[in-house]
Amino acid sequence: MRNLTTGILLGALALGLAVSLPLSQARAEFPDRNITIIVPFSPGGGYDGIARAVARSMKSYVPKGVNIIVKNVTGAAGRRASVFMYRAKPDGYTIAHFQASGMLGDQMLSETPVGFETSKFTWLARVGADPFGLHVSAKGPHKSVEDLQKAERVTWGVEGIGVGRWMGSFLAAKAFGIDFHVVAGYRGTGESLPALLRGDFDVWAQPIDHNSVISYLGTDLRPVAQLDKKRALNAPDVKTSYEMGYDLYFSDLRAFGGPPGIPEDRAKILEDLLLKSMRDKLYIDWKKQSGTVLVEGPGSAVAQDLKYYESLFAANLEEMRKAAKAK
Amino acid sequence: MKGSTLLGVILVGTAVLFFGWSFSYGGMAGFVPLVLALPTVILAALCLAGERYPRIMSAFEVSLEDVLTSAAVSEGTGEAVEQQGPKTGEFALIVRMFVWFTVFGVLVFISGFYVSTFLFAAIFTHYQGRIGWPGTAFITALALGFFYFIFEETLAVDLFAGVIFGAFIPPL
Amino acid sequence: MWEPLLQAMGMLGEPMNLLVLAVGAVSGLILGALPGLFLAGLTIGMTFTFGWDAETAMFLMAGMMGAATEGGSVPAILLNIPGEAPNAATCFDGHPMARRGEAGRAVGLAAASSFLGAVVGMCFLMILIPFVKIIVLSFGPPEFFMLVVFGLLTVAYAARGNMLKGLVSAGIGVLLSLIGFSPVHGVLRFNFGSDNYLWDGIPLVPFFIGLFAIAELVNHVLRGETIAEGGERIKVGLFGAFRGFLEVFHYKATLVRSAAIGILAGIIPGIGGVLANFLSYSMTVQFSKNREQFGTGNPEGIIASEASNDAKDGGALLPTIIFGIPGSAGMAVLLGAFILHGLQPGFFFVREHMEIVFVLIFGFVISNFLASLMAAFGADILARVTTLRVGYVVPAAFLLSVGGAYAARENVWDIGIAIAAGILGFAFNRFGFSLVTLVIGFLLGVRAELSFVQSLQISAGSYAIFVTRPVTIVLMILSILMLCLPWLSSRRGKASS
Repeated sequence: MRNLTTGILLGALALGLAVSLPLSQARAEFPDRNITIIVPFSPGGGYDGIARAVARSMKSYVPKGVNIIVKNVTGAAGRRASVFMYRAKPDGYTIAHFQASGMLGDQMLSETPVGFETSKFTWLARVGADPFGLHVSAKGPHKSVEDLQKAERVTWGVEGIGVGRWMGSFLAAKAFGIDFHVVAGYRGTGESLPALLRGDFDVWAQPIDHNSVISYLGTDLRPVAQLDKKRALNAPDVKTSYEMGYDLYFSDLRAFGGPPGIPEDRAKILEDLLLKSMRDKLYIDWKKQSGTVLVEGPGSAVAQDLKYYESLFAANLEEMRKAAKAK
Repeated sequence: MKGSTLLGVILVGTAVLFFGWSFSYGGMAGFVPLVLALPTVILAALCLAGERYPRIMSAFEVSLEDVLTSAAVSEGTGEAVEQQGPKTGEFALIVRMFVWFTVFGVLVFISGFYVSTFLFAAIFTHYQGRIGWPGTAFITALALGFFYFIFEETLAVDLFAGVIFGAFIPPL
Repeated sequence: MWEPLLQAMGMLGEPMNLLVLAVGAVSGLILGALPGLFLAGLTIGMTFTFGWDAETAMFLMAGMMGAATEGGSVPAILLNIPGEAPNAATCFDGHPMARRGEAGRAVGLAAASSFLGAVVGMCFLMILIPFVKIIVLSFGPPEFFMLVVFGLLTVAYAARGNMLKGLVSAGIGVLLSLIGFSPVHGVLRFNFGSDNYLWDGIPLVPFFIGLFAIAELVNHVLRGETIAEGGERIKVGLFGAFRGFLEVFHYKATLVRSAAIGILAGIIPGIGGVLANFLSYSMTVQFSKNREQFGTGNPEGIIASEASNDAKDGGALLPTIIFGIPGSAGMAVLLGAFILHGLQPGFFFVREHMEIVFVLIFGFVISNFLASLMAAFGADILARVTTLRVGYVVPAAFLLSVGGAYAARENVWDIGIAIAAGILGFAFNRFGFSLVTLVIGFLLGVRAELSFVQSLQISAGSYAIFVTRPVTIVLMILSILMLCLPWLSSRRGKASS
């Protein structure tokens, strides 16, 4: 009956105590029970893996008896978790590993209310950003950005029209002046990569410093540009968009966040916990082993990054909406 | 109305709904469902007509393979063979069962898994299942224990707590 | 090749690894028998492996995954409720056999075909590994579309009884599968006002639990006091189970064909074990000499279903290892375990970590063996469930099913889907509409559309893409041949008589 009792207790607490005495309550040893990390994607994906690795390190920084539980709340391309978190209790015991840039894009691009507002979440820590690169197949007809710019019809591989990778692809095509046709319906990196090698489409926008592509770089996969200010570790020879004179930065912004309105002191404790865990040897070793290149940062960095994406999406909103509808 | 006729009407209705709905999507997004819904509408309508005119139905009574092997076979689960005439009270029992199930579902939304499981297991087992109170108590305790120890503790499933206990119903 | 093999054997020799494997097999068997719970359990299992050696972790994962489908066959046979979706077709002949009082024989048959299916599946995996890059790279959306069409055409055979009703079921299944956000079109379709819940379409697990488990509970209540006819205590005995175990060898062709279908369906991501199961069943019916016996407790029906759903793991492992494309939800969790232990799937995985591949292969096979053994030994005790009064069985099974429907995604609306699907499943069954074709339509409908539109996006709208690629042409010919099969076989029959 744990849920029942805690449910009743929390209901009462939320009404009375949470409003009047949050400070004295919070100072008494937060966290004193299990913390749940929500992952918007299914077990097995990158977001899930990182959350679990962080949870493992975090365990050694929380009081004994406190567990870090990772839970997958999947559905609607991550939107279900966003809505769930937006409505969760802001007590600091439920946090999530979000794809922050993606959810902002989803929120802004959608013409119906999505049920959450990205900027209002309590942003706790940045896990890292994976800047995108534009990749072509080594055996394909196009070898460079110039080839792509000259080509009459260029296809881009995406998961779904109007979601995730599609936004980065659209913005890159626009910035570089490359033709934009999509081949959609590939589920994640796992399906897209062989599809590119098979020749289903011409370009694939995908983070370069990403564990899933590292082993293909230089053999089957040829990155032709990176959407970043500095060059990625894995592709020191590939020019960035800024070097080529196109002002576009685009990445997967991975961040931990909580429901809107987590008390400041608890948010600080969580931020410290998360940063400590991401600087822990266990986590760093795991990153190295799995080939993940990510640079952590404080919660304020997330808010800052989100401002950039907000202006980027706002400037292209009408065009993106139009393109998403074009058949 | 006969049950099979009702089902036929519902199936035709469903197919027609999808057919009509596909016109609201432009391009291929509407065209593919349209193409798929059309034959379903026709076949479902034939099926419904077969309720009235059994000759239509019997024309299809055999499937591709049976045309050649002349062995009319019953549906895979073997249920169709024993389709006896409706026993008295059978229909009422079927309806009653699904009402039980639905009431349980609604109860979970309102009062969460534990309260509804307790009520369902106790009342259903005793009154519908005609099991004595000791047996009922056993089943109830078993179900509650299973939910707590296996679902919540072992598998870390957060069972829905119910709106009256502050749980929030995910948006549709 | 030999060094990693010896390495893996050495790992298997360690007592700790063997223990982990056995624990995995036991928990997989139990979780598999409980509708809807396996995935949650597997994810927890993965979490447990933190800090373990990679190979020990893989033994646990393989142990759990290998045993699950075997576990799922037991309730399918005894209660007509599949534990896992890929066990659904086991109900068709397994349960009638159990009601006849031969539960032990059915469990034994299922156990043996599961084990042998897994062995065949893993053998194929070993043979195919060197060619996998070629296979996956030659299988694009147009080929996939042809394959899906081939699968859809089998409804013509699966729609037994009344063909018209079977086709209507398939059509309804296809239409229901279109619900949700379509990534190729970028629109949310047929959502009935739901912007969130139906985004991913009708959720498979609660839908299946409703169709097969909840609907069946009502049938149990209608039939009377106990599940076995007349409530006779079914004497199984070890002998009965092992007789079933040996009986499998009478049906070698069925076994191999079903395993092959399982591998083929498993290898192609997204199709999964459910389809393997139904396709294999309907193909077996098609090839059998005693078609009229199917659905009444024909041993071949059980073999078809169980051999295919265990063989599919061999197929599904291929894309998981080579591309990081999980062939099923369970494989997705396995992929998570890979990443957790710093193993990166890809073309190079086989070169760098062949010992892990062998660990998985051994793990699957041994786990299947253990699970089959446990099921055969336990058949006698388990069969007593069928002599319990339905007053006990129905509420317990209902609560478990609803809990399982919820646990898969922890979305309370899934309970609604399960109950609604229960009503649908009951009505379909009652009035002779085929659940088999409904399911095939539901699984393949939206995949057909997706790969069709994808192909046209690739070809800039030209339909020529479907007829200019060698693999699509082969698949098209196969489809046509399959449609002509009854005519061909009848002509042959006439000629011989």
